[in-house]
Amino acid sequence: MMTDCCTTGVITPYDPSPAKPWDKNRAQHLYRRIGMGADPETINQALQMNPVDLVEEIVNQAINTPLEPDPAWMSWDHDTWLTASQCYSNGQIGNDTKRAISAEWIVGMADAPNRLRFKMAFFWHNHFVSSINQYENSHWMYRYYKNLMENAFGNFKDFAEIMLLDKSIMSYLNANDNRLCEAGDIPNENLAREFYELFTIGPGNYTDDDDLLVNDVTETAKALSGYYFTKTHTTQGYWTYYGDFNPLIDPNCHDDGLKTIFGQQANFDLFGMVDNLFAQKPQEIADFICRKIYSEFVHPLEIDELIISEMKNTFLASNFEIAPVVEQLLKSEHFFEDCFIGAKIKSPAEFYTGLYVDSGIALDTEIPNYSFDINSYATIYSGSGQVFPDNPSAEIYQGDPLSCPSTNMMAPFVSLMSTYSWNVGYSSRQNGQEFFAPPNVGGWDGHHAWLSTTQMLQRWNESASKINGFSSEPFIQNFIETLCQSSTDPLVIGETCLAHYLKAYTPGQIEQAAASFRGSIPQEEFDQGYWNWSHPNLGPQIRDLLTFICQLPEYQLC
Amino acid sequence: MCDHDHNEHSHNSNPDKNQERKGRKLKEHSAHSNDHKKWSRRSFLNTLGTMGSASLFMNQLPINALGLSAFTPFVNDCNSDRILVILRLNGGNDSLGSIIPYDQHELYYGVRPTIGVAKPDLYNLGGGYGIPNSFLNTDKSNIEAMWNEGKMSIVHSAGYDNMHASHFLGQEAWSTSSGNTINQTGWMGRYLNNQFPDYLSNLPEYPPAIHIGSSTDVMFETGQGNISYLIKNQEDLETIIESGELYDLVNLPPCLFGNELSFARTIANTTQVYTSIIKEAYDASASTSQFEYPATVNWANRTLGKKLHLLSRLIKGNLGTRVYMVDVVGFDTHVQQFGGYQHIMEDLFDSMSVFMQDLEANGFGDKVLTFTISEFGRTVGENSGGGTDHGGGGAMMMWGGGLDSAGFHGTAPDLSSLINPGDTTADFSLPPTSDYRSVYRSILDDWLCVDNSLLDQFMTGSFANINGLIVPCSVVGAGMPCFEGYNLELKVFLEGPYTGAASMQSPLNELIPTFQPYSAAPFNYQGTETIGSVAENMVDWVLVEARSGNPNVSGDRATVTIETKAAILYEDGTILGPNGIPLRFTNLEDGNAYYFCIRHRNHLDILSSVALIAESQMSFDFTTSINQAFGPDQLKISSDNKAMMFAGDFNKDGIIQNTDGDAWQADPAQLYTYNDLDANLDGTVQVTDYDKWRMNRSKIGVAEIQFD
Repeated sequence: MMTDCCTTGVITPYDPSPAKPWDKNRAQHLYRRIGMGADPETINQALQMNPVDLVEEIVNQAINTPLEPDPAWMSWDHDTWLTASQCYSNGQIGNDTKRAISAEWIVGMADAPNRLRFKMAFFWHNHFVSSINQYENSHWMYRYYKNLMENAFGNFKDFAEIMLLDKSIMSYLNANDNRLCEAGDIPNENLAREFYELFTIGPGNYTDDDDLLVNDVTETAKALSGYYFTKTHTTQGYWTYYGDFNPLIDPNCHDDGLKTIFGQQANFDLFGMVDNLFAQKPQEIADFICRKIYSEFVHPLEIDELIISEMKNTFLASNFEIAPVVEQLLKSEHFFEDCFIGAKIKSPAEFYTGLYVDSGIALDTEIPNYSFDINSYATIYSGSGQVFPDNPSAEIYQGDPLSCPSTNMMAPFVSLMSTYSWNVGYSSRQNGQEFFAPPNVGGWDGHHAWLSTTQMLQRWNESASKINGFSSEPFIQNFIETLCQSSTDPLVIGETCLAHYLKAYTPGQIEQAAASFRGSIPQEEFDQGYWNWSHPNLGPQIRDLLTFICQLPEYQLC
Repeated sequence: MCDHDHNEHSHNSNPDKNQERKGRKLKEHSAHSNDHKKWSRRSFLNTLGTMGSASLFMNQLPINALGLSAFTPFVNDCNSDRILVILRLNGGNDSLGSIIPYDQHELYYGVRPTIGVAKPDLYNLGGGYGIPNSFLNTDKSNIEAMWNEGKMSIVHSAGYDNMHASHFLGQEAWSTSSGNTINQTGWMGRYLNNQFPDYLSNLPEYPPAIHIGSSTDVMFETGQGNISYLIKNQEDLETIIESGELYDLVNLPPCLFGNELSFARTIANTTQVYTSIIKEAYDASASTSQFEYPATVNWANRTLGKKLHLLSRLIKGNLGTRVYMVDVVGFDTHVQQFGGYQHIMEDLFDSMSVFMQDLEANGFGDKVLTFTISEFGRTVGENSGGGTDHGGGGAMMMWGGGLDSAGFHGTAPDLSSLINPGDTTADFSLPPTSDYRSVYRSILDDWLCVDNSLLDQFMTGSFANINGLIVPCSVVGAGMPCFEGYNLELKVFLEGPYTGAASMQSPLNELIPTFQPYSAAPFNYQGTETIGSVAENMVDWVLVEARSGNPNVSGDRATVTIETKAAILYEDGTILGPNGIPLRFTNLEDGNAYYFCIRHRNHLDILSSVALIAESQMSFDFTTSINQAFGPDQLKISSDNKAMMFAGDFNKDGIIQNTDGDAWQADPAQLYTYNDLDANLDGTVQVTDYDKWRMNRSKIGVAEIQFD
């Protein structure tokens, strides 16, 4: 449903013209879609390039940059894991691993050269959904994350097969309950149903009616029966070790008889079932996946059917390769239509991360005066159960010192704990976007669902408090001064910042921004040259200006 | 806010605090429920001219677009004006530091040699337990009296099996009522989601829950999102109000960006409106409060006192919110507990005492139930650092006039089964003897009057009530009819838009402002009625006044305006409030007579020919005859014999004359405009509008409703 006023553009590569110039808004649009936005320097560099070349470079970096090595704790054995949990983490090692990887993900999406890889993985996180609240295992969580990262630009068919055997997904969708061991056993259809409905073809493209003698979901569940994973729990809290990632098949509980799926009869197993799906339903798969990619990168409500069909062609021609579709879309004239710029509601992660990125602050910057260090985190008996800001779970464990080994083992958890990324993870979680824990198998609804009164108020409060936290730091003061080219005119400063942080603003907002920046300082002081960029009140001035901007409805859009 | 009998209290806008009031006890329910009419939230909102609820509707859907009947009543909450206040003691309250074994004092004192309170320093509560005298002997503490008057209860050692020792998981357990399993929704979230099932699309007229704390809590997680409105402190409110503005929903950028911006602005405005409602309740209670806060107490320095002060202001301001949670910090007392703990508990008892006195003085003593939760209790004995470590069960405290058999509930932990005489350490938890979920269930059942069939669903399991904890709803007789105000159905046609066949055209559409357009002179109406979006069948805004007295055709005015509403006129002539339901007046006197005046920004204002008696349902139809308007020929006959308001009073002086024509001449051609010169309301100022004026010129309205 395209609104009349949107000039739709075409899938062919974007060629800047006076009517559609390659300008700051378009460059920022690209960076907001492929990451979390960009600082002025990155934008300036981008504007030196041809946009099509730039997209190619971005996609190539996303594909070719090697991934981070696994954290050390991935290879810990059970006892080491338990000890760490007891000694340092008050049983919260699961939360700490989850938050550490979330922070890594945030830094990746915001600042990494291959940020599109992280962003795509995050997109797939909301597609192949599993929630750690159900599977409660840090190792599986990391493996899931790695599966998303490794396959984000891979072949979708391989990806779907890998995710069917991902233990977090199997656990989340009850694979272990799908056992057909004896005559009369009934398959658990959860994984089979969601695989079609949410992962590959969408509702309406398969039969799922128990009244039918044969239906696709039940038959598929039979093909998936007997695949299982093992899991051991320790008694200490939850989310403990289990390092084996290879799902098993129990031949006694796998139905290896004939199944009829999409009209094809064979004794399908998991792999045969996937082959059959991709052979029988390529159009449906392409439509479902291309639509979702389009919704993520262009707009979730304004979907251009012509563009979708072009994307489908590309997807099918490449035999379900993801990269060509994404690259084609990002390069397209359609993608750069003015209509779509700033027309998506920011998710909490985009809102909070964007606040730092837009302000030129790297997400792995240490929070000033956070007074956090790994030794205090891991020092036993160091105090009275001190609780770290924003991380009540990181309380020092009051345990037995004798059984607790070196503190260095905790390094993987805490490397980002004192940086802004940790704080952003916290705020996103508070606003309902907890990484690794979407609310249900459908994932986060996104767009309009990200803005409610509670959310709005929380965005106002949280962004104000974050800005207050850094507004007196030299780095932000230098950033704003440089941005404003050392102007001492509040109107110029206000307008420059509005233009930087927003797509569009009104003359009234310039006045308001200037008034925020002036604060209680009379305009005469600016006029007569008494005010300069080392004014003692500069911190509060920047605070009030940025708070004003971040609270605007315009800033909730990206 | 419940009332059977409007007359009895109609002149008594503030109950006299010196007068011995009936309705003091909950069980005298009928007297009690009659007590608050003039303080009802609705009349309060109305008095302040607060927004119509439509401004709260999100996704730009007015209520009638949601398929609800135009007569959908407001939430019928007369039996549900009870308020729940949850004090959450963050960090794990050492309840053995405040509710102290008295009969088994020796055992207790042995394992708490440095932080224990000596027996002579305890006030004996009976039941084997005491409370430090120091908590009772502060300036303001009234705990002793509350205990003896039956307004305080204590539930022994509350908890659950296999209690979490982590703060995070422990708090989750108490918020979700899930014990040591995991749940994604909170017990209050589940309850409130049932009360406000479509709260996301159809925002309630007040926040369903308010949480005074630093971040939203899973307790209010519904599964659709968090239903609580979070306030950090009162300064936050001030800041938002001061910095806040209602964003422009009319002048939007074109296209998709404009659509999405409109969405974000609507949400921002709604948030702003909630904040305004809260702030207005806060401000309003300052002048009506029957209680002076003790001047000797510096509330600004009190952790809890300050928050409870804010809370009482909102309750007294009849905000309407029924569930509050207040976070109190500082309970994680691992070291050097004595002193610091004393300080926060003295603050707590002081503050609760003042809070309760405040509520009672203002008639809310029986309406508010307060209770404490904390993620766990602490170890029975002290540690080597003079503190206590994470433990298990802990006592819950409750306050309020609705407590049934006040005092101790549950089984008191028997220290002799835990500690041997002569022991000096007790590094273990107090075993829970009461399930906290039984307390929750009692609250839902007996305090919030939740239907029995829903209790297990809200609790996500089956638990037993604690008998005698709270006076059951059946005894109190919940379910009073509500005072819903005086509802008026009106019908009028406007010349110009009127097309015949009892219908008007409505081409203005989105040109119609979402905020009522009568704030400027001569109307000077300061109401904040707002609509979320313009429905296709809306013709325009009108202003409706209820006037008392007997009107004059000419000469001096003899009626006065009692209450004014901005409203929406629809194609079929119906006038509804901005929320899509008939206009509801709340400041009228039951049984008194009122004339109703309709004003429109470019038509000749009219007054009803007769007075209506104020009753719950009133109606008046101006379209049936020109004699329906007061005064000679104040309505115009249409070709199909309907009565319409005369078009052409461009300058709103109550007379259609040359000055109106001059006004048109000055600016005779405008496209796509919401303009007073647009007599036929088609969005274009042109000669057809002049023609309307020309046919009606020299029409004199009645002096009674002309502006000065």
